[in-house]
This record gives sequence, structure tokens and C-alpha cells, in this order.
Amino acid sequence: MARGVEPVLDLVDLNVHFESRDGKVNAVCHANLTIGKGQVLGLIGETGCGKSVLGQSVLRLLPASARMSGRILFQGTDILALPQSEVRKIRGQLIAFICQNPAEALNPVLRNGTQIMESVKINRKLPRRERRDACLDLLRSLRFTDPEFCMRSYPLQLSGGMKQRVLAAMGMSGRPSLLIADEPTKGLDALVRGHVIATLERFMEATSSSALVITHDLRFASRICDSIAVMYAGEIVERGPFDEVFGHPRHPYLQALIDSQPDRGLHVLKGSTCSLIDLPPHCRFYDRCPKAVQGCREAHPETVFVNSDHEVRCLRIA
Amino acid sequence: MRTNRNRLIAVSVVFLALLVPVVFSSCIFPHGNDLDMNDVLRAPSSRHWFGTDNLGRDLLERSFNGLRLSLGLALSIQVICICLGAVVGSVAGYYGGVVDRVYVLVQNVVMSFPSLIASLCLIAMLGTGIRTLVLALVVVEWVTYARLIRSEVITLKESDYIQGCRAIGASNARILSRHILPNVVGPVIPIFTLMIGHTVLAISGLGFLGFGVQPPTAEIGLMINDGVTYLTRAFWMVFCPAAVLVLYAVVMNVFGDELREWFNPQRENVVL
Amino acid sequence: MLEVTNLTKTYRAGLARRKYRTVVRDVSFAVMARETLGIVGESGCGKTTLAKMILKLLKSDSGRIIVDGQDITGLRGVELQRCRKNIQIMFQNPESSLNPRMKIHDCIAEVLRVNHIASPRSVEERRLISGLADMVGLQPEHLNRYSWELSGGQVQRVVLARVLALRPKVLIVDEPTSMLDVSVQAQVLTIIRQMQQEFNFALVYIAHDLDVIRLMCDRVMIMYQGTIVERGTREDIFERASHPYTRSLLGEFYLFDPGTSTGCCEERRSEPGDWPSYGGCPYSAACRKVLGRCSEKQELRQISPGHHVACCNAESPFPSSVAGPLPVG
Repeated sequence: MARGVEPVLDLVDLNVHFESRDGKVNAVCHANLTIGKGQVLGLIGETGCGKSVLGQSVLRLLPASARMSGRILFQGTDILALPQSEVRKIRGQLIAFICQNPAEALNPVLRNGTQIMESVKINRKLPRRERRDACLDLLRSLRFTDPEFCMRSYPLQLSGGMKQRVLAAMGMSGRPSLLIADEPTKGLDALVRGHVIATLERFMEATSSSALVITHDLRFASRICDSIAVMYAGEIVERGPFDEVFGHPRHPYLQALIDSQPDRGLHVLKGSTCSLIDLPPHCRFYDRCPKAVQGCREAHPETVFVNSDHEVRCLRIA
Repeated sequence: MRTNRNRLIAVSVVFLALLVPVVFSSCIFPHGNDLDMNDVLRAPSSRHWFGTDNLGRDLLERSFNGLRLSLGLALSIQVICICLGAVVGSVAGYYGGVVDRVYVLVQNVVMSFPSLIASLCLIAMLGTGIRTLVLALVVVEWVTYARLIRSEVITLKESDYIQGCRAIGASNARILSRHILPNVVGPVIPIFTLMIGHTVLAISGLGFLGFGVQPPTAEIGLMINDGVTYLTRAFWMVFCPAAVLVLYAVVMNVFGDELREWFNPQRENVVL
Repeated sequence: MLEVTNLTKTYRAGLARRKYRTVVRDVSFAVMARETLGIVGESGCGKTTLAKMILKLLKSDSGRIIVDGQDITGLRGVELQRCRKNIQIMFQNPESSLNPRMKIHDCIAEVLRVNHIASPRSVEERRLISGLADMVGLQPEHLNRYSWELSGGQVQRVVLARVLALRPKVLIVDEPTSMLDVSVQAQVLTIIRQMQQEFNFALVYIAHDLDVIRLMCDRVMIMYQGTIVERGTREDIFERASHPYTRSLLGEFYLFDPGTSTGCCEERRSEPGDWPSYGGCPYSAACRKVLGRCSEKQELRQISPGHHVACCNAESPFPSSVAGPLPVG
């Protein structure tokens, strides 16, 4: 895994918690992540593990009740320390965000062309005549065979995969250096997965950006990610290059996740994610861990390096 | 949920406390209609907290008497409207087809008449009096609920759990009464509280025109209208009854909001 | 157990009802007890409409439905209500599958009460409910909660408990795990299989995820824009697919699986959008091997026992290391 001189995104000890009526929700705890230039990092985890919060926190898109600490270094600058006006400049232009449900992310009463042109207008200072050509170029680079039709039509005339590509086009308009894709395959057919992958690959090719892909779809991740980080109950429990981590999973959670896939035997991992409010002081995976020992109940595991870039958070390995 | 419940309880207590003088006003404030020509147009004082009107009647007592009448009438009218609207709206929405088309036709006709004029015509035809007043206002206002409930039913009809109910063999009547209507309650409640205020105004408007409640019965709308002539000399004749009306309308709306929150079983979810 | 013949559904729109769209066209299949049939297709191909028609939640324009030997096509009203318990469905979206105002206990009780299985609020009813909950792996405290307080996987189990209360002969599941995480998917699928072993119902599994289909289904049917384009056993489809559409699906599927042959990978010409359906093969607009003959209606032809394809240009049932299409006569 070749690293760039300066990583595009570097999360240093990021903590995010929310004050809610029922207590303090610890969505992200002590997260450390690095994404180099041109790299794709997959963030894997179940619903409720905090991965979407992490993705949104990079762009400070969280609601006002969120409290963040730590550092989010984007090309060297700490986003958490910037004022709102600066963050707004980064959003869309330098960091593109593709959110979960493409069907709901597009305005159904506006034509696609209008929406793409709006994002081009905001992110590039082009005269009106050139804007339309810029939009058509964007669409062509995402392999739309009939970009004119796409511009003229409304979102409901497009399939899920096509809507995803329109969103990608809107994201690309600012020539970003980082793409954050939040569950890009959720709600889409498995058959469209290939198209989503192609879209992301072309996006990155056209903008030479890096990507943070948040997903729980292991097959999708295996196709596109260079490195992965696995999250459980707000913590990153395993991290490293994809082939290394998937080939030799060390954390019992990742092992169970891989084994629960249909083609690996559908081995059931019992129980469900622990609540992010009453977090136990010991290992958060203890209750469901098939390999837990007595020692796992007594202390909270810290990350340990298994080899040069593969780290795991497990007491048994330490 | 807990703080939700505490708020609801707090608001309900205030509301009920305020309701007591209204409901029991015939016992607590029996002198609303007592004339006293010596005490005409007196400003608010320790004896008459709200002052007196042009016929020497104590405004405080009259306000509460009037409120009792208005609120009572408005409440009964709205309750009848909800029942009628719920039945018609849910049947039209659920079964669709011819029934629905007929209903929509009726709805459009009723709604195209300005409500005040329509109620005036009805009262003119049927004669004045409390019963015809109630009838006229019900006829004009039931469509508001029917329309709302019909659209909610049409949306809910297609949801998975209703399809599931049909799949397990539940009859249409059961689905409507046990599964659809309870889920429709939510949006109806704030409309209900708003409409009560609206109906009180309608009653007073009709009263002013001589078609509704007849004087000397105490009624807030009538009182305000009487007081307008004396506005420069005795502003309290308008101000006090109006203040009472506004206070009750606000408390009712807040109560309605809390009730709707309580009925709505979804909590806010933190996005994770 | 379930036999469906020539089911069709057309939606009409426009001023004189002249514009129409055939969402399901001439679909026929049969499933035996204890057997699992998979129906695969993209979103919009009509699989959910098909499921709802079989359950008589939607009116079909033509065709017959026979459940456990009884023709339910023409049934209405009370007779239909009595037959409904033989065929049940599980939906895709756990969030909207249960009444949000009813506690789980009442949701399951509703099924028992509607079908008069036990008297309301009796000890018998409570016993049945806790038995059902136990069977699908729910804890007693879940019974006292609302559906929005449970996770997606738990809700699907509740739905399963409700459905099993009626001991159906046929269960149709419409993408039950597409909204769930991988680990939860394993739990739900395992329970469905266990229940099928125990109750012997026929299972129709509608999905777009070939992974799961390969695991769960004995026979598979591929749908494209409302018609069946290929049908056969699991091996027929996964190893000897013949229709160009099936092959393109498998191509994408196998791309994820390092180590398997990518020989049957076939690129489509374009994205399926809202192509108007005309008389011929619905896939011809996107197919790479389109010929003049493709503008005629394609019928399902048998190319080997139990394996049917609706394509005039079907590849011979060998993995395509053979260059070019072989003429299929």
C-alpha cells in the first residue's frame, strides 16, 4: 500500500457523543484513521455502530447536539478548528459527500439537469453557456449513454443506479480530493452493485481523489477497498490493508462477520449490537464473542499492532 | 418519553385547573346576568375584577358564563364533526371507487361555499336557536376532518402492515377500526384544538348578526361586539372577555400539541 | 402446493385508458411442499406485484392460482378470508411491517383473534404467543415492546411468528433481508430454514441477491420486466445459464468471487431505464446478441429437463469457453 507524502484524511483520536434524553450516546470513541492519496478506505460495521456518524463528522454535518473532540486533519488542516464559513467552502468543493438513499437525495420536482447545474454553479465559476457543457461532460465521464435525456428528465424516470450516478456527477462538480460515500449500495439491487463500483471508480479516476466508503456490504467492500477499518459499538476494532485483514482476520467480530455470509456457511453470530448509551467498561464485544475468556471481562482492550500496518483491538491478542 | 410524559402531565394539570371555573361557572359565578344600573361602566376594581358593562353586569362572571357556553357548543360541534368526518373519510378513502368519487363531489360542493354564508342560509331556513346553530356549523365544518382523514387513510392503506393484516384474513371493518383509524389520530388532534377557537369565532359572528345565540345570554362573541361601541370609554368591556378567550385558546392549543406528541409513538432517532 | 398459471397484470393510464404498462406478463410456475423456489430480478421487474397477486392483495387481470389443490382465483369475501391462512407473506421493510401502535404481544394476538384460533385474552392465547415467540428466538421482554423499539432482525422474527401461527402451506418472502445487516441476515435466514424443515411449507424466495438465492433455493426463476426469461434448478442457473440476461447477472455476481470462472460474463449494451415494452423480447433493447427474430414474442422453451429459456438465441448449456453462440434449434 503506497502512502502519499501527506495523507488526505487523518483522524486523530476522534470522539463524538450526543446528549440525548436517555443519556449520553457515545457514537465514536478514540477513532484513528488514515487515508492516503488515491486510496479507498472501507469503514465496515453494523447499523448502529457509529460509522455514519464518523462519516458525517468529517464534514461537520452532525446535529447541534453532537460534541466532538480530537482532530480531523484534511490535507493537514484541522477541520474541527475551522469556522463554519471555511467548512462550507470545503463541503462540496474539496470533500464530496454521497449520502445513503439516492432515491431521496434528489429533489423529485426538479429536473436532473437543473440540480446538476446548480451544483456546478456553486462549485465552479463558469459563465452560463459553459455550465451546460460542463454538466454534459460530467455525465459522459460517468458513462451515461444519453446525457441529454438525463438532463431533461426527472429523477423518477431514472433507475436507482442512474440516480446514484447523477449524485456522483453533482459531487464531482467541485473536483474534490476526498469522496465520502455513505452506504452507496443500500436499497439498491445487488445487481446494480457493479454499476455503483464502476461509478465510484470513474469518479476517482476523473478527480484523482481518495475515498472513504461506509458500508456493511462485505462483497462490495472486497471489490473496491484498498484498506479497511472495522467498527463495533463506536470503536475501531481492526484496521489495515484489505487483503491482509480479510485474509487473516484477527478480531472475533470480523471473523464472525465473514463467516455469516451465505457463501461461507451462514454461521450465526448471536445477539445484537450493544446500546451506545450504557457501554460496559470492559471489551464491548464480550457478550457476543465466541472466543471470550475471563480476562476479556476485566479490562478495556487497546489497539495492538499485529504487523506493520494491521492493528487489532482485542485483549487476547495483546 | 419520560420528559414527554412529565410535560403532558404539567400541561394537563394547568388546563384542567383552568377548566374548573368554566365548567362550574353557573355555581361559582351565578350573577352574570344581574343588572345594576348604578354600577354602569365601572373600571376594574376590587369588587368587580373585570369591571362592569353598559348594563352594570359584572364582566368577570359574564366572561366565564359566556366561555362556558361557547366552549361547550364548540366542543360538541367539533366532536360531532370528527365522528362524522372519520366515518365518511375513512370509508371513502379505504374503499375508493364510486363511494370515493361521490364523497369528493360532496366535499367540493360543501367547501366551495363560504362557511359563514352557508351557515347563515341554513339558519335562515331552519330558524334560530341553539340546535339549528349546532346543525348549521356541523354541516359546514365536518368536511375539514373528512378530507384530512381520507388522505391519511389512502396513504396508510398501501403500507405493508395493512397489507399484512389483509393477508392474515382480517375483515375490512376490523382493519379500518383497529389498525387504520388509531394511526390517523395524530394529525387530527391539533386541527381539533385549532378548530375549537375557529368555531367560537363563528358562533360569535353569527350571534352578532342575530342568527346565533340571542342576548341576554352571555356569550363571549356577543360581549366583545357589544363592547366595541364603548371602546374609547370602557376598553375593559372588549379587553377582558377577549383576554379570557385568548388565554383559553392558547392553553388548548398547547394541550393539543402535547397530546399529539404523546399519541405519536415514534421517538426521535439519533442518526448513527 | 402452489401452482400459478398465466398471471398477468396491466396498469392502464391516460385519458381514454389507452396507455398501458404490463407489469407482469404470463407468469406460470409451481412449487412443492418443502421446496424453495427463488425468483430473481431487478427492482421494477414485477416480482413484488407478482407476490401480491398470488396473495390476492392485488387483482390479477388473468391467470389462475391454485393453493394446496384449491383454486383461489375467483374467491372473494368470506371464502377468501378463510383460504388466506394457507398462503402468507413476509415483506421487505421491517419498519413498516407492523402496526406502530400495537405492542408485539398484540400484533401476534391479532392473528390468533382474527382467525379464531384462541379466545381473546385467554390463557390459551398467551401460551400460544409465548410458544411462537420462543420458536423464532424472541425473548419474553420483547413481547412487551413496540415494533419501533426492536431492531430490524427482531421485527422480521415477529413477522415470521405471526405468519407461522397460521401454519401456512406456502410462504412468500419478499427480500426479507435486503434492509438488514449481514450478521442479522444470517440469523433471519437460518430461522426461516429451520421453520421450513419443521412446518413443511413451500417457500417462494424473492430476491435480487444471488448469494442468498444460491444458498437457499432449490429451483430458480429469473424475471425481467414482468416475464420469466429463464427457469431451472439451482445448478442449471448458476452453472449452465443460457439467457443473455441471466448470464449478465451472473457475470456481475462472479466478478465478486475470485477464483471462479468469469467466462459467463456478458456486458449489457445499456442501462435498463424505463424501456417501453413492445411485442418482442423485453431484453432486446439491452441485449448484445439481438437479432431480427428478437422482435417476436419469445416463449419458454425447454433446453434440458426442467430447464426452460425464453430466448431464440440461447447459448448452449455449456460454460462459454466456446466462441460465439451455438444455434439452438
